[in-house]
Amino acid sequence: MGCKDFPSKDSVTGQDCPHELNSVSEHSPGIVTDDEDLVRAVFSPIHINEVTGELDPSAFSDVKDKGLSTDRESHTTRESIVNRANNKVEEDKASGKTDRELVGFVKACCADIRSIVDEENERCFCVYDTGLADNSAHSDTCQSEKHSSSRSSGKKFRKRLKDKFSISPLSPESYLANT
Amino acid sequence: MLTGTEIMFLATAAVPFKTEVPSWATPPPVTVGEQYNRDIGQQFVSYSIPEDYTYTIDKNKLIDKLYSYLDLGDDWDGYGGKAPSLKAILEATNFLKSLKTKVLPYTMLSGDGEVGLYWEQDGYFVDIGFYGDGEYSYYAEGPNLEPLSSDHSEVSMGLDAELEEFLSNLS
Repeated sequence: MGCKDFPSKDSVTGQDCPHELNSVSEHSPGIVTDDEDLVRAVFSPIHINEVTGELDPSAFSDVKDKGLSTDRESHTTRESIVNRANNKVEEDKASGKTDRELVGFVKACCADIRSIVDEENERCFCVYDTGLADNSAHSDTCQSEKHSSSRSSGKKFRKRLKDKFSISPLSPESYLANT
Repeated sequence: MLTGTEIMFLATAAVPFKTEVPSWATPPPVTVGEQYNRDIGQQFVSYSIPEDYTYTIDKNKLIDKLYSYLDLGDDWDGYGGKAPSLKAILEATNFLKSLKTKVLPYTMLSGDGEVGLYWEQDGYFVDIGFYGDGEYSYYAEGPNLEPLSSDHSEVSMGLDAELEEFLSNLS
């Protein structure tokens, strides 16, 4: 599944993010509601600015095509989120990405992501319940076609999305302890 | 019985080579702008550290980082990321070399193979991207400044004048 599978505007009614209204995955516990917290695992060196310790804007670049993967915190446990991230590191290392490390986690509220609109009050991002067979809490955030078709617009709203997430990642230990 | 010559040879061979580092081989701590005098054995030299000493070193580190992207193949990020093209890396590198901004950018790489340079400090944000098609795109915003953007700036023309002026606010 990728963002192209979910057109961000209904061609008849003009409604934004029509696929948010119904579940898009048989593995999902239900659509993503506004009050949910979405957690993203952060890995070095691919997501992080080694100088500032903050996220690179490019850490959100998948939002325009593949979808920005997050876990729905209310439908899983923190231990599961950390375990999945650690498993991902092991998979990457096994496939030759030996420099890969888990830095931690950043979080955003779904309503904040959905509230990002352009000058014409059109939604820039849609959030879908893309549950997986081995992770029903999986979700994806996709940039609307309108805003991903222009390179500069993509950069502008990628920055808006980045600002909705916590600035610096919480370490796995802090994330587990910070209930 | 060993001859005198053989004993001399063995004695010489048993003594490890002395590997003292000559004093001139180790750079001393330096301060930008100060004058230094050094005796390098056969001649006495006088020099000063240029103002852009650390700037040049830092810029070279960024160039090295951009070149390191050449080692990446498809799926470099573990999420099916596209490897950056050689041309995109060279465009970003040449662009960086030509920059005369007071503050250097950070480098980044996106999952679709875009090579990026960005600044983010004190409320200023500038994001420039290269795909290797001869054009670069950017978005810039800052306190009390009108945002700037472009989808199709020509790499061969260098930094857009208005973006250059925008970047002069960073210090």
